[in-house]
Amino acid sequence: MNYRIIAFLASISLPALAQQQPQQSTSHLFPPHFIVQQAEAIGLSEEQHKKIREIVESIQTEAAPVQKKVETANREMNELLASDSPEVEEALEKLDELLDAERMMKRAQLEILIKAQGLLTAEQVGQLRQLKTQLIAQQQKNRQELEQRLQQKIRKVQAGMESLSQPGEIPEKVRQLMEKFGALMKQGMHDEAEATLDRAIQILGGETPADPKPQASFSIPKVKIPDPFAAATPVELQEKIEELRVKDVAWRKIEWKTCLLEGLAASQKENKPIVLWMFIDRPIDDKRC
Amino acid sequence: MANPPSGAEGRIYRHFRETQPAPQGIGVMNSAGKVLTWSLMFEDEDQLTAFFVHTESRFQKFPDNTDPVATERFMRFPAHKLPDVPDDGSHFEIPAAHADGETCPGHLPIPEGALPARVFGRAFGDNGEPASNSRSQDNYIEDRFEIPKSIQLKFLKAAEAGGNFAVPIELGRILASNAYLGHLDVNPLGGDQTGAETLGETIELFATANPESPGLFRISGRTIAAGGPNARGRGNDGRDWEHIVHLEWEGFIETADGEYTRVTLAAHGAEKLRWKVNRPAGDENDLAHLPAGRSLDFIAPVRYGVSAGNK
Repeated sequence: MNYRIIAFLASISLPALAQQQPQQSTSHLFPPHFIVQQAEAIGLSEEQHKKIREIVESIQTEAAPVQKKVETANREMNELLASDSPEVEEALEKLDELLDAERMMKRAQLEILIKAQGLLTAEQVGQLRQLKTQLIAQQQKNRQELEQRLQQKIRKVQAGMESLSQPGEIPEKVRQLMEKFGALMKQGMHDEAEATLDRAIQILGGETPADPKPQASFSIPKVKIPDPFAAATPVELQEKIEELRVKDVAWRKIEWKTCLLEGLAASQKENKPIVLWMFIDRPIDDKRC
Repeated sequence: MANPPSGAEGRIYRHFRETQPAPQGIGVMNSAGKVLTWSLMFEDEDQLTAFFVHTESRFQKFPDNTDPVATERFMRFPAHKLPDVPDDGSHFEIPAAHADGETCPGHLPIPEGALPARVFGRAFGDNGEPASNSRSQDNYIEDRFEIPKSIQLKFLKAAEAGGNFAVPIELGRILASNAYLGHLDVNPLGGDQTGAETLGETIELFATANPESPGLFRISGRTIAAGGPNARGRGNDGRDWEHIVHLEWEGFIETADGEYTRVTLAAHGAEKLRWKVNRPAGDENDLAHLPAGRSLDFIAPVRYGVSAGNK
């Protein structure tokens, strides 16, 4: 075997699938989304559902400023360390700030977990433990099967390269695909990684694989569709479009101002409060929300 | 607002951020720029009215900077209250208007050379009549977008060969990513920005030059856009949705001096939208679930109109 192939094969050994994580102290608890997902199986009442949602909303809202602090501290830390000669004291101070914010976030997360679980009956907790065990077992089984399949396919790639008519010349496309395979595995995108491996095998087998296209996992809705407008001129079509437009849309009856200063000036002049409609932290003008 | 401008207006936007219970919500502010009360949701319709009565009363007590006022915050008015944010004593110097040349952060800027366009869309019933309730975005939408100069130039470049030609895919994608019913998060081509994954996309639009009217092109073709949540979208709040929009397009693009002057396009087709939120069955109280919204599940005939440059 040519040394170039040996070097390349060494680099495409199967990247580790998700490793067994050390058991965390919070693994005895159930995330609220897991509880809600299993609502039917454990007979979660509407009242329990509602209270869980309130707990999550309330604590997440309280924690939102802390989350912002974590993001800001992280960004500032990155900027600081990216400089040519970061100041030690400044970096350590920023690290403390980041760790403090992260600690607060973890506290909030733990509070949610404990309070949400506290709403469940002992029987429901037992059912959830059983469901979680089954889920973990299924995940492990899936992981093992995937690992076996990937190992077989990597062996096929290796065999394909060894049988090349000009040993040492790894087709560029295969090299690119295998690099992509490694990257996808690292990102945990196992299905996409396996599809990439399949394409490499096809190329080495002398086939020309079609470019991957998204799986058509949807079907076009079947209803009686309206007739075309069939307008002969832009003016005629514009008239038909105007007919489509609702003339008295409820939200247009309110004379919203997008300029804060205009709103304040009107408030001062008319001695009236200002109603604020805020959408995801940004002025939206009159675009869809 | 993620990046408030400098100056007095920016300080008021920062005050919003410091007092808001969440990035979205409804608030009432006094004439000095101090938020009196925020709420994200309301117990029911009566409590929405009660909220405005309550805040009007607070405004009468704290109309301006005379007395300090804490910001009240509610997750759900009035039962689910969060701690107040005390007044930090700051007074905002409020200019009467923006200075000449100053950009108002409340207005979305239009890039140079871009053509602003408006889109209207409606769902229709089996009887061929438009859905009567135009209050919900799943029945009726109005939106706006821009057609960038670069796309106009690409279109005109493609037109140089004469005859029929394929409309640049970027223009079709802009149309398909704005012509859909529902809220922002169900844009089938929204991509990572809205936590969406494209499940399928077909853009097949063609243009034919009109030999009798230089610069006028007739447009026809179809777009199919299908999307659902990506991993980030699902991880955000457990959302689950599917949106498929199939549209047949017709219309006109008018050009002069190397740019679009008028775009008049219409589409008809079918749309399927399923949006599932974790909400107890039978709970019709939308005001108590404003951020999550309500579950949607419909398949409907639809029509859209896109209009740009029309007087």
